[in-house]
Amino acid sequence: MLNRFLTALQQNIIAKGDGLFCSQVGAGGRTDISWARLGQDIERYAAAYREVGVTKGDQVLIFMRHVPDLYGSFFGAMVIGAVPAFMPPSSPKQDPELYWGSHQKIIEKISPSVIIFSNDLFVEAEAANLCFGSSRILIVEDVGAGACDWQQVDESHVGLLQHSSGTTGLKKGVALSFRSIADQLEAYSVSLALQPDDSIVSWLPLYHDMGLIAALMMPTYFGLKVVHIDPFLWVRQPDLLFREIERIGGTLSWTPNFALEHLALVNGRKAQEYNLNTVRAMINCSEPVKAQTFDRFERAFVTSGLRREALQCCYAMAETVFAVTQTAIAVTPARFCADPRSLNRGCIPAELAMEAGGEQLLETGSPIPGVELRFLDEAGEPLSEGVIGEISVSAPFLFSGYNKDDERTSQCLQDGWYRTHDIGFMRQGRLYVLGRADDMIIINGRNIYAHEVESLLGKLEGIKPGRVVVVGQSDPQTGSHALLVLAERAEGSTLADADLRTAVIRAVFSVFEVTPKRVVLYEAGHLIKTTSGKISRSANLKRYEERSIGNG
Amino acid sequence: MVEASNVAVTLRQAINDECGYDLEIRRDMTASSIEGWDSLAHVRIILNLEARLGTEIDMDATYRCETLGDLIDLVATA
Repeated sequence: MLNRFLTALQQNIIAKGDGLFCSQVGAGGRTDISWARLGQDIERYAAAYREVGVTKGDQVLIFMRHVPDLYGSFFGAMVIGAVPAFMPPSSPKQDPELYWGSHQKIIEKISPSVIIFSNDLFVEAEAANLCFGSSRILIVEDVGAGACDWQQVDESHVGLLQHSSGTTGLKKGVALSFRSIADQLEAYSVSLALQPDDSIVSWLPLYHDMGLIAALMMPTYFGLKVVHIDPFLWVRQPDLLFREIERIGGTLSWTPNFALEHLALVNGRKAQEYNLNTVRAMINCSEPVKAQTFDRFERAFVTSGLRREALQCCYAMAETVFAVTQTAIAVTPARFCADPRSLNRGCIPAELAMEAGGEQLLETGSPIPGVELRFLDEAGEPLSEGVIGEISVSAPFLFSGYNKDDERTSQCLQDGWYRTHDIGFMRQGRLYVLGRADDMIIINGRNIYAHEVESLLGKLEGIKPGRVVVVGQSDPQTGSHALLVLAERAEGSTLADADLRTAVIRAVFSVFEVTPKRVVLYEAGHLIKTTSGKISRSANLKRYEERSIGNG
Repeated sequence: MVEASNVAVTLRQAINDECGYDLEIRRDMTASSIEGWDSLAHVRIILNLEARLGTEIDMDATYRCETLGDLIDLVATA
């Protein structure tokens, strides 16, 4: 069957030629990449892959910083039927040994045919003794000129791997077929009322599903202009997003809730300097959406021409390629003020005025074409409409499974339905998402599993083995969650508390790219256990919060 | 010019505001050893310092500071 994605990519390269494919903005300035250059880069990389023996179905891991070769290396693998995956590059604050060590398991597990590095990252990985096994290594700087015919790649073929969470060997490699990708993009474009003259401005990393699908695959498929801002640079200069929107007349941008808070805080006082009136949709996605954040953002940028209805929401996940729901474009998202006591699984949310203690919830939108939702009780049985339950998704663009992980696949994917572990409910055809049914914590758009952090810290010198709990706390300062670490000191350890805290912060940041907000150290035996002998996250968080309030 | 000792006191207040707890700071401390001081908090802490001291701080230069002592000196000589 015709591969719609690769056909569209090829047609755009031919039809648009010297037209702009992507502006890449980094610390060194802006690089404009034309469709013609993209085409040349794709062929260069495809030829390099072929030369080292890459064939259909082989996996290619890509470690690069924010450089133009990202695109050629990625699509170059696709056009010969190989399966690319962007991996997060290390940052200066990360401990190289811990960072690269965290990738050892995944390299062993998936045995990629090729790992491609920019030279600086390769030097780092080698110095950290990363073992590449049978994988061949390509260095960006060594990839010369070359040409290679595009292969016939069936649409049922896996097009890419998206590593959806964490940075440990346990992380999930979501395998997405070309068909699923094209079906998602087609369906989502309907909900977005996508126009040929839309343009996308993004600061999102491409190893994250939101950046990869919304800001790379979508503009590539539909031939839209896109700007990619280096995520590291964006954190320092968030208004680059607005400057680029203004420069190209950007119409669409996706961003997690915390980023809207960051923009409002850092750039709100300069709102009159920006012109955001071209924006059709600034879409809040990848972590719980907050009504208060929209209010703050709107107030901060009212003088920049941002339309209220341009603030939109989406519910998305790598397992459905990207979007599951989207709020109606050009319509202000609905809010529902609920009685917090009714927001439990199995209950129907009751309305309660804010003044009476109601909690204002923001919709994440209606299902995009082809999506069906069910809400499940603890036993996995469907609940009646409107009842709070675990969100389960069916869609023509559902993923085909986790890469080389049949056990996890069979746990989550059954009879064409994917169990998300998110808790939510439908009201008047709109989805409201409340939280998680498992131990996943979403921090600044990153998905982190508490048990993975606990496992890492449980082995750290100075911590009593296994005596750690990690929990997420809502953080009004960032509009996201904060990571709280509660741990017992190892008996007999001579490490000072300050050094132990530093070691904990360094380890968590190096592996998960998140800095714990608090690290609380206790004497052995302090943490509360459940009746089954496990350390209880909820009981320890409760005691910590009670004591914090008591001390405050 | 702001006295370095004033900057240190103000930095402690800014960390308290942005990271949510009172921390006794030392000149040899690094940002990466401080709970809650991530890349977003860094920007918030510097903005907080600017507002409290009524001075403008070169954000790029703050990333070149290795210790809190370096940061205090940078702000004091701004």
